Amino acid sequence: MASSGAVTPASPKGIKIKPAQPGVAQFGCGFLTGPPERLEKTVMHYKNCLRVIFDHTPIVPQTSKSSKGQVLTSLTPNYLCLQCSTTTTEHDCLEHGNETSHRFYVESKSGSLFCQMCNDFVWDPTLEELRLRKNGTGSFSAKKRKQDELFTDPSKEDAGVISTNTVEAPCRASGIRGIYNMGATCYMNVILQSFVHNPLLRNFYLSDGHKSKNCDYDHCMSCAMDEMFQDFYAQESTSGYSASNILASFWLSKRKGYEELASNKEQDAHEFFQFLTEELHEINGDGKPSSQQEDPSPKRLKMGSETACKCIVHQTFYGKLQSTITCQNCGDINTSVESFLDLSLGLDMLSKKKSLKVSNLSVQKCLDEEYKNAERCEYTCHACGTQEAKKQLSIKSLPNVLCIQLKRFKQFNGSASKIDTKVSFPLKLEMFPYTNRARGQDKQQNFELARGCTYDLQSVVVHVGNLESGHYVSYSRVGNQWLKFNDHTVTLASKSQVLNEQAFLLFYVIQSLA
Amino acid sequence: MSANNSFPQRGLVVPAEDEKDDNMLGMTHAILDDVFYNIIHDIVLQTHREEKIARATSAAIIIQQKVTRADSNNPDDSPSPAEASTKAGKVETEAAIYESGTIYLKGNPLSTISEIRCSKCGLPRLLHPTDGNGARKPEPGVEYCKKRPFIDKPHHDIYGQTFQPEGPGRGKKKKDMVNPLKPKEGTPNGSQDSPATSPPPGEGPQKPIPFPHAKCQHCGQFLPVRRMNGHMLKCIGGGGRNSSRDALKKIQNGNGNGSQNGYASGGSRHSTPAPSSQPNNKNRSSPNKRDPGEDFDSDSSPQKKQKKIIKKSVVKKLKAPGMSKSASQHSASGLSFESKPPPSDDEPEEDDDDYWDRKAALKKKKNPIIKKVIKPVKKDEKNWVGKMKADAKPPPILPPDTIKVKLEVNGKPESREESESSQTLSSP
Repeated sequence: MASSGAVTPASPKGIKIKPAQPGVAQFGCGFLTGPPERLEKTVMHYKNCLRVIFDHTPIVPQTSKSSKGQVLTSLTPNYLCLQCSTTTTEHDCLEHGNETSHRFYVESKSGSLFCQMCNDFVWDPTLEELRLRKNGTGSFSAKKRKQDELFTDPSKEDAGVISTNTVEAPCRASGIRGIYNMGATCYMNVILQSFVHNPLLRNFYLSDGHKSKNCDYDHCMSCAMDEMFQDFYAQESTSGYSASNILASFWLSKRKGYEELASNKEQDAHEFFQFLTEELHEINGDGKPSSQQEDPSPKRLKMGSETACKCIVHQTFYGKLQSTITCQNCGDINTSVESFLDLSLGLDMLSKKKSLKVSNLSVQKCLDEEYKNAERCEYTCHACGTQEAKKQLSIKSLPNVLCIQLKRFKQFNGSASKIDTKVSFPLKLEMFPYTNRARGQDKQQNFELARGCTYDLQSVVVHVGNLESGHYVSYSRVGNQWLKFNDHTVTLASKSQVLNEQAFLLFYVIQSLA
Repeated sequence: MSANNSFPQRGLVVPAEDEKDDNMLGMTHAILDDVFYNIIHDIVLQTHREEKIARATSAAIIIQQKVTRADSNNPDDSPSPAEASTKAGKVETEAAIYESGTIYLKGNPLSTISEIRCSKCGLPRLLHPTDGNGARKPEPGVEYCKKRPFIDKPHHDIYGQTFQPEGPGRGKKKKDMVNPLKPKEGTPNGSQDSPATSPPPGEGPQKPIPFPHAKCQHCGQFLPVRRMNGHMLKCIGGGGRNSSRDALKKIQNGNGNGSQNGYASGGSRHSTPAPSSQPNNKNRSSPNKRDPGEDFDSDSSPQKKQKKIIKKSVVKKLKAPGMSKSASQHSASGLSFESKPPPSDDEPEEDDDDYWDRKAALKKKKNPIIKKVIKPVKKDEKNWVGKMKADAKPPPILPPDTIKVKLEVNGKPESREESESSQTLSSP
């Protein structure tokens, strides 16, 4: 379903039929064929139907009028006639077709096209693309929307650009390989696996995003990553990959604050994730890799000024948090914005709270607690000097890949321990309620925005065992298939197996990219 | 009941119990039915979509292949596919129509197409795994696309391998490149890897999996991938916060054996202000140096002996037994490591040979051993010199073991016995 980038400009008038491609059928079924005017009309009608389905409450498309004039609202799919504004139930669909000889219908839950002549659903390349885009981002156009502060620009990862810049990989190379354990490096392997299956990073590296040939940085981590991606996606090998170059770059990088991470001991996968993202940011960003002599807190500086950074790491992982402190006395509001690499959800705090039952803790509940509910905080108001204030955290901008860390490791009285609480996590995560736009907006816009804030689970990092002798395992999704990565061993995994794991890190990819 | 009447019966219809006319009961049933229906509907629709798109693409690929074949049959066609297609005009298969560069589907690809073709290579896809759960035998004689369904079998990975097949999996990493200078890494390789690989939890019976070797970016050494991280610690290491502590600990542990102020440790971390070691050796006066030296001798001599024997026996073969006496002569002069070229008056040709050999041996030893060895050697000397002061010619008195460590030449008398015995065996 590779789309050519030129299709669907923002204006509704353009020619939307996809150009003929060798090896791809032009239409979903023989009955869609027709003169261009008719096709254009079809597309227009189809868009209208999709708008009805996706832009408003589902009640509208789910409500139909029977032939007797009786109004029905159904839970099961209805069928919207493509050629007129009638909505019928599945049952009445044929009748309507016979009456009016309207033969195309749009299913009301997913927006799929049904052809009465084929008596089957039809997956037309042009229309299907529209549907996916509408369903994914809430908009037909691939372009960034005006009011769209919520998303970082994905246009650089546009499929068209990539397809022209890459070499066709052999069929066997699927990017599914294990990574050898190089001696207590499973913390590294799980993060690398989640990177390999991250669509943005994959596209970046496979589209020659980091030019290793021109890179003059010694032991460049990005070059090592590049090599790894090439090996994963261009080699037919099914055996494990030895990420020795990455390990060497890791050892040699000697980053401030992460020096102690490189050792032959077990380490925290999340720390390695932070290290890797920072390292890649510095290499791929505008800033050259900082020399060691620089002031000891380049990290802090970067955090502040990164709005300008367009590096792949920022495009992929970074979002923005807004904290609003409201004085309870005078109502003075103080907002500050900071960016985040991942959302950390504390488990120990939550499990203590009475309001949450420990038995069925879920990611959404943790998010509710942190980003939906206001909390009291230590704050002295500038205006009136009272100390009563409420702090409200919310997400100002969501990243393309959302990393959620469940803090399973805690320090208590100087000794670390692991929290084994089971936290359920969804395959699809709605992040809209936690954004600052969720509060008080008109309904219509919300539906559209909420569609753009849906995330699909991409990778899960699991820690098994206890603190002393633990092991990291990861799961990643390739298409609809889940796979379990245990160092160099890759096995199939079922969804239920994944969802029953004690997750430590969760990687969600925004739906429109998945 | 009114609700039930107005809504058409669809989905999973659970036979309702008719005893009670409970509105709620009817409602819940209806809603539950609908919810189940929706779930199943979505799953089926999803699968249907994947399958139908795959078949439609296959239909397009098949007709495309037919067109190109037809084109290649007409030699007058221009090579460009776009032009070729215009000439070919209309091509039709059971599932699709090809007309001037555009492919139109004919009928429902779900019924007209039975195989799925890869959109990259155009070969049919294997639809069932070849092993494990749901396996079917692929049809013989058919060339399938290399992308195969994943295998779901206990103790096997998705490619059906018990992790790694012998032979080609190792790729360009050459096992032979293991550095022979480091027997510690090289020798246990075969034997140690196999137990190491079996542990992956719950993996069942295994053939030993050859783990690949990787090159260390830093020092260029090839070593088993499993040891990479440990190697990095040694090779790069150093920078870590813990590394200094670790090193300290290591030193202290090493010293626990006795050599408190040997030079390898540099003494910088120790408060014991040993008189600087260099002059110390010359003075040979410090009393506390005695025991470490003795300790060392007893420790390391066996290893040493072995090496020596091998070396010497090789050398000896070239030599006539009678010449070995020269060795004892040398022993007197060979006080220091830099053994001088043998006096030329004694066995002029043969000894030359011996000398070079010895030198080579020395060179070899210099790298790995000198550091460790030097200090005990010196202690030896000291020992020795103490005695020397007492008796004029100490070397013959000393047990061969201790001296051997110190000098090549001293080792000779002892090795001679061994080699002699071997020679007597081999000489006939």
